[in-house]
Amino acid sequence: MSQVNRLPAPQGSLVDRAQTVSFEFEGQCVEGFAGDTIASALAASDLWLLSRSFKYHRPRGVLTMAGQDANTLVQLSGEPNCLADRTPISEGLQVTGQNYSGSLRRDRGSLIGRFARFLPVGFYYHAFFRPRGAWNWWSAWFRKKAGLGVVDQSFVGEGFDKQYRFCDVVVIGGGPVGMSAAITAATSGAEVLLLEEHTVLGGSLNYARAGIDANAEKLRRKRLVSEVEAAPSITVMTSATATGWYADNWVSVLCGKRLHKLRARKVVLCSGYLEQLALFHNNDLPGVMMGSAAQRLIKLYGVQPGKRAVVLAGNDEAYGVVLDLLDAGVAVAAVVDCRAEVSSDERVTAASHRGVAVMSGHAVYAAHGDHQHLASVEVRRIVGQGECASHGERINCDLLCVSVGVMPAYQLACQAGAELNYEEQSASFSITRLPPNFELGEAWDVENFPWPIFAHPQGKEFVDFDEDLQIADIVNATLAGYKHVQLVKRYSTCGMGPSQGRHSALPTARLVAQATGTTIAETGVTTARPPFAPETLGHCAGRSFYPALRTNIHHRHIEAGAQMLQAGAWYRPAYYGDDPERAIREEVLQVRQSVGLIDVSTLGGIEVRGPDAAEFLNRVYTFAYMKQAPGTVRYALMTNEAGVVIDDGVVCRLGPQHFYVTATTGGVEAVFRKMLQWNAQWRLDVVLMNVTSAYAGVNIVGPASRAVLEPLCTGFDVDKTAFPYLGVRRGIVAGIPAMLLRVGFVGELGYEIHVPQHCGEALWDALMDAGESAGIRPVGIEAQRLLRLEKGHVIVGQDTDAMSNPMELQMQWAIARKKDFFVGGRSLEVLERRPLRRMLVGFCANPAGSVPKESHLIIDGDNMIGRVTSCAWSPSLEKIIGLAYVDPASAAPGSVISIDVDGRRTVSAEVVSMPFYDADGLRQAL
Amino acid sequence: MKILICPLNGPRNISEFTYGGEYHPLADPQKSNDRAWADYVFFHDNHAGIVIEWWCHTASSYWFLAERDTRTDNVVRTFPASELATSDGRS
Amino acid sequence: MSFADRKQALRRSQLYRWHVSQGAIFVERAGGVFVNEYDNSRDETSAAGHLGLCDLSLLPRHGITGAGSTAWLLAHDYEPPQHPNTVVTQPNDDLLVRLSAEEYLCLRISKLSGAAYDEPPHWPGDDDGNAYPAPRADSHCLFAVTGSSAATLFSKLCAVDLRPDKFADGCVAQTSVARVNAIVIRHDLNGTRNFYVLTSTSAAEYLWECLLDAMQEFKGMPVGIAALQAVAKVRA
Repeated sequence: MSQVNRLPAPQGSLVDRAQTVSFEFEGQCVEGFAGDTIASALAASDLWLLSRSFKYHRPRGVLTMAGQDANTLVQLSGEPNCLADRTPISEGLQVTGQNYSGSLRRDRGSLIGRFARFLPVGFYYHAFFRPRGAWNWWSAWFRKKAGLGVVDQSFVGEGFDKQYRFCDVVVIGGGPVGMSAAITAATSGAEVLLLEEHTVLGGSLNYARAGIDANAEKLRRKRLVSEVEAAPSITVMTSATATGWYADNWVSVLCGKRLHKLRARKVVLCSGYLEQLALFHNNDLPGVMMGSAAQRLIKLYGVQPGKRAVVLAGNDEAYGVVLDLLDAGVAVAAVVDCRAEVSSDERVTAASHRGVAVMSGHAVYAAHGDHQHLASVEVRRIVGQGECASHGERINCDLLCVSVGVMPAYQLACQAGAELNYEEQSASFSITRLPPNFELGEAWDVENFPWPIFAHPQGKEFVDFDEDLQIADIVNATLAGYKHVQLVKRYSTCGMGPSQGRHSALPTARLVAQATGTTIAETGVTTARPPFAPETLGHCAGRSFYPALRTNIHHRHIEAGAQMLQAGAWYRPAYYGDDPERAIREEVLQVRQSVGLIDVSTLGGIEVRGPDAAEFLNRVYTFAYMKQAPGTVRYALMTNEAGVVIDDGVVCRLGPQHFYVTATTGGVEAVFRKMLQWNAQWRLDVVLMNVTSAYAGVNIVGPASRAVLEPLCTGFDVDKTAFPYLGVRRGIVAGIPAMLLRVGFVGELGYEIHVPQHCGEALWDALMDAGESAGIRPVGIEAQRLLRLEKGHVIVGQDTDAMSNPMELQMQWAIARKKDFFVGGRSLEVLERRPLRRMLVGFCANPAGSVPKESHLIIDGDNMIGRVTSCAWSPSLEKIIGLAYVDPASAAPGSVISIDVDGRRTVSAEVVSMPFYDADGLRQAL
Repeated sequence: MKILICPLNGPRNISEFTYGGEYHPLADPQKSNDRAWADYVFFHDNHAGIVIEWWCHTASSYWFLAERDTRTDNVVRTFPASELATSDGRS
Repeated sequence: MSFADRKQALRRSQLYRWHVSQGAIFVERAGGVFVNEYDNSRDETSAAGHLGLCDLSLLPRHGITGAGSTAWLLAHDYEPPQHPNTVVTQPNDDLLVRLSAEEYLCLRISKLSGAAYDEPPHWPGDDDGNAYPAPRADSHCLFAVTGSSAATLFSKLCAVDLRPDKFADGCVAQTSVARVNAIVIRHDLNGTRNFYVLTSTSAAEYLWECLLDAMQEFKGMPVGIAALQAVAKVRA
């Protein structure tokens, strides 16, 4: 039965009869031609059953042949949910149906259709709801039954990616209207991008029939395509779907494995119409399809869609279908025209002349199947809106072409903010409130048959094929109190399936309007959000950018065995070696006992220059800088206008009008931006430069650091008197121009050496070489964090939160009292007059106990009185130390607090005065 | 993706910018009582209509102001901070 | 010249190891170590005409900022660009980029031809009125992206329209490339399309990988400065 339905050329403009392609469907070998889709090749071989429906497992077949419905979703060997009427066949392709138990033809799941009355609308909603626990019982069953295809879990990533595109005018839709619009725009000098979702330009000219001449469309298409091709400023993208419109004409376009992010000055929407369903009993039987689907089968693929057809008509387009069917050798048993009077269109006349019986004022009341395919239709006279006579006649047929009306593909226009209107009399649509630079290629004024809906006592008149929703389901949703169309959607899941309401929105609007006594225009359709067409996860996940920042010394850390961690975008060495506990302990002791090297290049750096530089710093930090002597370093604490601590660092005065300020690694971008914003209002005569990435920094620290450093220095002295604690010097270190700071973050004698970024590694090498005999070793940030904890220094962002003020942190010493202004000063003044709500304190706990972690709670009986912000076992002190917020009543040294560790045990700790280590700060000042 | 017109860099995707809050003239901390100061720090007008906002072009660290209609999200115009009235008191 | 022992060089590109792994043959220019070419049989000059990527991170650069910058430059025989976000070639072949009303960046392209580095004869010192030096030699890395496909390559990484007819020779964009802040400068080399890209030195390896990855589609490849210089001459 190979290709029994194939028609001779010239039918089948897309297929190449010279190239036979074999593939497998449900284990059966099927032959088609190059250019066939899976669905067209199957139809050519008289295979019409494509899938099983989602809920009742009903047999489903070709509906639109345009990739607009979920009937054709099939499983490929590596990919689920592929549209069979869009996916081209290829040699050896393996295709199976989805959502069945047993086989596609004999699906055991189809028995569920008999229990339809036990699966009413809102079933899932109610099952979720009550009784309590019901969901757990049901979910296992649902998991098995629900969902469509099977994901290939052995999938390996492939090259999906993204690209920006730009044009003056994007024309969406490559049919006659789109091509004409593109040509017009190009003539006026615009750079045009013409998008066509199918493989070739032409749209309806490829399959529809506007008159009696079978060749008219072909000729018109040829003329338009050659004009488009001749216009140098038109770029054509085929197989490209515009899936969404976003602000300022930003259009997402899917083409192959690439997501194009298109910016257009103007959008011209020429997306045409989507043919609509008629609702009658068994309207979903394979063999029932849109008239346009039959035309596509005939003309695009050269496939005869049936042997004996009935055409259900609601407009004159149906008669174009009739003529095409006749030309393709299909017997047309009858045209069932819902309209009371048939028009005088030349196609109607031609059909009559060719002997086709026309039954006006009639409807198809029910379809009946045999072997899961249409076998006959029951035709009855229409006696009122949606009402049929009690008897009718049965007509045998294997094809029913439904051609009762169309709805514009309005989705992108509505995403752009336009409003879709409905005219009740002519059942036509129009659009208003289009945004600027967004046009329609044509007026959407095609008239439709207003009520192609015929309820049946046995139901199964499907409104939504994806979700198996019938007329009663929509009506019952309104009876359950969900009277708004948006609520009906959410309650019934109507329009939520893969076809996104393309065919269900209009009948739902009609049914809701009728059930609630409003007009269809008032009822409206549900919001059509992007994406308009399915996007694969590959498109969303395809090439994303995750910036990674590395210091100039990065590779030396790796060579030294560092475990790198990513802090923000930065890679930083956590510790060196394989055993974190041991490495961190050894690195801490290294700094306390001899000398270590810490890469501090990630530290933020800002240069502040100009006559008002000191005044500027006075305003942005809590401390005072006017009288700071050149060559010295001062602590810097920054608060926002509410008095909350937002950053800290040090201010180095390099000259009367020249400062170098450090900021936290994670905070510098925001701090720098904030400084600029403040000065945009203050207008001080000052220049700010974020020089973070301009300098690499190495902290050589430990009692032996001076001895190691000294021989490398030229141009300045490193001894205690010439270069004391909190000094800053500029000079040459190991041949590199450098700035050196003596600061006490980790609490030992040390020099923070800042050099041009590209010299970072050279400096590191020189220091490692010079320190070799002293046993120098690199120290990671975990050890650095522990060293600062021993000194009781807070880390902004770890030990502070969005409410922390300097008083809570016991840092009143960092607030200058004699300045008339700094950001946050006025708020601190208010806060200082009020009792503190909490305080950050240091605590010690029994070294043998379990170590509390950050964010563990401090409890007092049943009350939560604070939380831990930092905690670790201190190698220098050989006990557990930490910082915690506590109630002020428990903040005095000597107080005992209880820490709830992982909700399992309580650890008792004693509040102590800080710092834990070297309370007098003698070691850093050596 | 919305476009914002930076006075220095021209029209750019909004993702290139950092929002800096609603513009309001600096209050004089000395002349504000606690209540007035708290209002200045914590209360925002949230006006339905045209508001002036701070925006920063991130790549060039350039601050400017935008008049935006909060009802339509339409940006009426953007202008450099130097065009602000210099009645800020602090300079 | 071999730079196998890195300890000879004080200034080291973040990409040094990558260059070594690709068989780079190095050359000393302006006191820095540059890739002259990669040791393989590919024709880098024709690659540079089509799509080439060259690391120029160690090229000397200077910044100047402060309200007196323009006046200072004029007073010291520079030819500052008229408008922000444009670049002008100086008589000595250096490029002067105007980033904003009073902020400039000087790329010392002229130094690519000589081995030794000399300090700029005229650049503001620490106390030169209200024009201040900015440490631009190290804050950014610098790459050249050359060839006819360069603009298309950028369309995969950057949301600014850099196509030849939309972003003319001499235009500068401060924008985001592969989600890091960058300065993109169009400066054609005697008719061959060429963009200089600067981003934070710390992001050098990241951006280099992004560019290489995006180039694959167009068969682009890394090239040394020899190819860059050849391209500049061939079309002259």
